[in-house]
Amino acid sequence: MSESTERPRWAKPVLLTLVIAVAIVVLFTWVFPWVESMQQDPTLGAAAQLLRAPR
Amino acid sequence: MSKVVRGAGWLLVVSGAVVLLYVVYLLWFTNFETERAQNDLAETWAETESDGTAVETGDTVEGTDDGSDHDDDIEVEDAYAAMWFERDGERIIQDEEIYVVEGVSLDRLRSGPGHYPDSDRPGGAGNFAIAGHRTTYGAPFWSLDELQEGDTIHVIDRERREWVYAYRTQEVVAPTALWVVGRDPLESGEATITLTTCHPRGSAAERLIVWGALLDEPIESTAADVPAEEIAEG
Repeated sequence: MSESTERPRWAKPVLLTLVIAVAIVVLFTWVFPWVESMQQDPTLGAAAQLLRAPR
Repeated sequence: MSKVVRGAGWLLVVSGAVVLLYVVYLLWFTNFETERAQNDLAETWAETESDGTAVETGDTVEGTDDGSDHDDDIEVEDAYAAMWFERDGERIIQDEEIYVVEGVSLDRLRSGPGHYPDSDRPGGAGNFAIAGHRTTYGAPFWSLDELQEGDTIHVIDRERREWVYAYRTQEVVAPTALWVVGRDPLESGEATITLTTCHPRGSAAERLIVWGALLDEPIESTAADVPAEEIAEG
């Protein structure tokens, strides 16, 4: 006699919601700040560091 | 075939959702983050003694070690200065005071404009330099390019002295133009304030630089011998 492997009906929407929630947290915490830092830098620090870096 | 089309459809939907979320992040989330930080800074600014002593202690931001009065470590939650802009006695650019933090790392600039730690102090005989976001994070320097002759830049330092700078000029430069934060960028011999921000809006391709000259009698410089490269590096 084999055990039934069928998932309950609520599992899919719950899993999907969880995945979306985790994805949003990751996007807002790491991905977007990183992308944003590439686009916005009001300082001259990056250039100064590049000029100082050993070639 | 239908599986491929379906997969491509989902990919487009997800990509669109990510782009939309990014717009929400830029237009709302970053502003919310800065607004909250500015409110906190305003609160601690009000609670802080006029000599700059923090009421509460916490993490500190390392200052310069040049023996100046701004070499004291400043609490992360403390403002380094407060500033605003005026035209004919009316506030422009932003109605409320903008609290300036110590340091110009991108992390620090999320709280507000930042003082280049190796540049001069407010009222110093050299160049007092500040960097601020043009867009996002409250966009404190969104309309910096609208400053014109006759406008004034007001700065209150940690000792609660008010320093008034008269707008002098502005220039769009490459991000490699480190001289803009040097001791006397306008070669005028005047005590200077330098504001740096992104240009054009939403891009880091260039920098918009605004300069002002101190109207009061300057105090001793704290960054007399610091090279521009070091100041720019923050």
